[in-house]
Amino acid sequence: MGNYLLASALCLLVVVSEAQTNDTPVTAGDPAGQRNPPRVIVSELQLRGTVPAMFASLVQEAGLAGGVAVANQDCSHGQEGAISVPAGTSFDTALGQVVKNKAMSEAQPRDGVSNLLPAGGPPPLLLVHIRRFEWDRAAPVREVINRLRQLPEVSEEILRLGLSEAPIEGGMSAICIQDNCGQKPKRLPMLEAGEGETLLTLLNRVVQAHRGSVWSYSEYRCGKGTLFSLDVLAE
Amino acid sequence: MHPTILVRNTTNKRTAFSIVLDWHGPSGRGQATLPVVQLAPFATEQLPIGAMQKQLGIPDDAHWALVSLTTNAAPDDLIAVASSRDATGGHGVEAQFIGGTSGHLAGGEWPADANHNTIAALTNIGSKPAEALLTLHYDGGKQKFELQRTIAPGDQMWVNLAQLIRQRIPDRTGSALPVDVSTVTYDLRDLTQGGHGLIASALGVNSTYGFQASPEVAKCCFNESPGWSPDVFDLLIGVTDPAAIYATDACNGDSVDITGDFLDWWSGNSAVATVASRQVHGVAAGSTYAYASGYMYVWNGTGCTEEPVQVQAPVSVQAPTILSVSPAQGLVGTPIGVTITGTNFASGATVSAGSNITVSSVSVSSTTQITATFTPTNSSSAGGNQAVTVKVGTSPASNSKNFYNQVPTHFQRFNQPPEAPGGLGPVITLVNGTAYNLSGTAVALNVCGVYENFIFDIADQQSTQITNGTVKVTEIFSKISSLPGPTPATNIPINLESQGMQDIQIYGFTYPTCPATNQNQNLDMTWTVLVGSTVYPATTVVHITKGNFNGTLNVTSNITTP
Repeated sequence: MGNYLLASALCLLVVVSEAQTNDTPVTAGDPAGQRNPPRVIVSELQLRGTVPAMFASLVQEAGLAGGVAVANQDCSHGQEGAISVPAGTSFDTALGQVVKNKAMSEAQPRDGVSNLLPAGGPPPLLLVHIRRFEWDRAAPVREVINRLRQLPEVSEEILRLGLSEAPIEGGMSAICIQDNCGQKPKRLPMLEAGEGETLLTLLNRVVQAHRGSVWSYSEYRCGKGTLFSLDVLAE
Repeated sequence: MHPTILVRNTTNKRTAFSIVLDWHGPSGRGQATLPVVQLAPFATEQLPIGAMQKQLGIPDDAHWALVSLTTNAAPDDLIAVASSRDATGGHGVEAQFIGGTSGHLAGGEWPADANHNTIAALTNIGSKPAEALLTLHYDGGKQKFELQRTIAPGDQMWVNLAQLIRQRIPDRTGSALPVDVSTVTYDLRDLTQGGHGLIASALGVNSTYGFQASPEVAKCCFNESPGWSPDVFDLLIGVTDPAAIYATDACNGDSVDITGDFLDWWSGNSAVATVASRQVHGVAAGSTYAYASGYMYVWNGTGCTEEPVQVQAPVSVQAPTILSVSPAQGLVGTPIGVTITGTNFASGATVSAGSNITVSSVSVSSTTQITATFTPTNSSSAGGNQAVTVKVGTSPASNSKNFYNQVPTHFQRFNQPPEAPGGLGPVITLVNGTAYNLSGTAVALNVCGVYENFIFDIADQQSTQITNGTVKVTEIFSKISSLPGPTPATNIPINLESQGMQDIQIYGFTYPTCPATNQNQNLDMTWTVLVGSTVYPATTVVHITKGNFNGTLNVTSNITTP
């Protein structure tokens, strides 16, 4: 019952967020727009892959941050697709194309973070409450989310929900192979903390400081059990 | 004064001459023509002009006249002297007739001091005003005094040396002749372009005080060895080079610009180069000659006369040549700045790179360098080498150099020691440890399992690394033995100028969960590369085996394609 109440509260927040929007367009990456984006416009895009993959590409192109949760009905990452987004399309419209005919609900970007969640509500693991979590906003997103995954509340909830973690299998990224890549300036530590917040809220707060970052939660029905993975699709 | 003209026939033949006097005076100026005079062999004729003055219609106040003697005799057949002396014989001037005028006259010594007048007379006998520059050299030629005046046609400029010294008259540079100067030599130039109408003579005044009136006959300084400057034209197509005609001043060896005396200019082959006054213009590659004709003062044995001359210079017009194109390859759909190095490039040059390369922003930096932007457009892997040529004007195109239209076709291991020699990082087994990628970023924490890093670059049809543009790479997995398998990374942006692609293959769980005995994962991995809106599938397939394989945690990879 508690979960349903929380889901209702989230919907209410979305409504409030919509009420705050206006029709003034802003271009992708506008810091002001990220704070309270009225209408983000994206350039021409070719989106391919699964829904989470397309969502991550769209969020990156829009200069936002985001998180996506999917509950796959089989032991796969879901169907892949491809869509073309014409230049000048708003982020909302493009996102509508991504989730068309899918049982997904998209939330308006709030504080520069967009979410794409199952239509029936966030997966239960994302709604677990964390007593206290402190992190460095300057630390890599993947590192912070890995720490979130290790929290006792999360591990206990995984056991309680009967979930098993899918194997960790790695990933791909760019790497400097020349001398002229230029070092990114080291950011000063910026400690932040959350108390009594859900895992979902904390995930959003973590990516909020890293424009273009997208967290991803997936569930898979493999055999008689349910596997899950908590990952970073873009950073 | 008693003006007299003496003419002697130095031959054994009869000969005739006529004399015209251009007189000048306060009442004006006029011309008087004497009857033709017949001279017997070796005879001398004295013409008392003073006595004939009234008869000739020359007014009493006329104070000087220019005397022109005309004859059919050869040079030196007649010797003529015009003499004016006072009754005492102490003051006067004798002027020899000269066979021509010049734009540059050089004379011998004029005695000079502050007390004895020596008057130099500079006469313009040409038909145009002359800008006369009289230079007096003194102190053994180490010092000079310059006077510049415009002399009207038929007019004279008189220079009294004693007056210059006494009154400390400054020259055009502000210098004055020193009071103790005793002799000067002189040099007279007509600064007017093409001017040749000056003669010079000197009048010694009051020679009873010790000066012998020694009218100095100026030697005209003729020109010799005319030629083009430059003497060879090595031209670029579409480029105009300035041209001039120079000769050598026989008096002092100076180079003299005589371009103004050359009115006809032409080319031996106007399809190669055109020639106009003072310029030669390259039209197309080839060789020809530039010609100019005009007049030049030459020595005729007794003086200077204008004679027609023609000069020519070889002209070579060079075709453009390409030595190199750098870089010599570029990624399809991606603009890249290219530098073409070669020879004989010129403004207006065009660059062609075939139908598969869009060429823009062509700029001729120098005769040896052109910059341009190339955008390869052929997305087919067959569209590799494209011929680059440069064309200038109507000349044939240059030789060609290849530019390679790169299409991303496959991935290859990138050797980056010591992190990943041969493109392979170490196989690392973890028990509650952190898996790091080759950039040092923690990819997974509290891992129990095994991992290995790989590093790739993106290669073209020739297996050459692509090093320009930004692409987006997406992983594709197949033949996954243990579902659901890894989440494919999608649209990872890679700036190929400085970045490659790294892949970390992990097989593990969050500790305390660890891989069970013989639990493993086998899969095939490949990629697609997005350039603009075009997707290029890579032919590379990497077979990955990872996990508790044969009892030992391991990761192996095997590239089988291509």
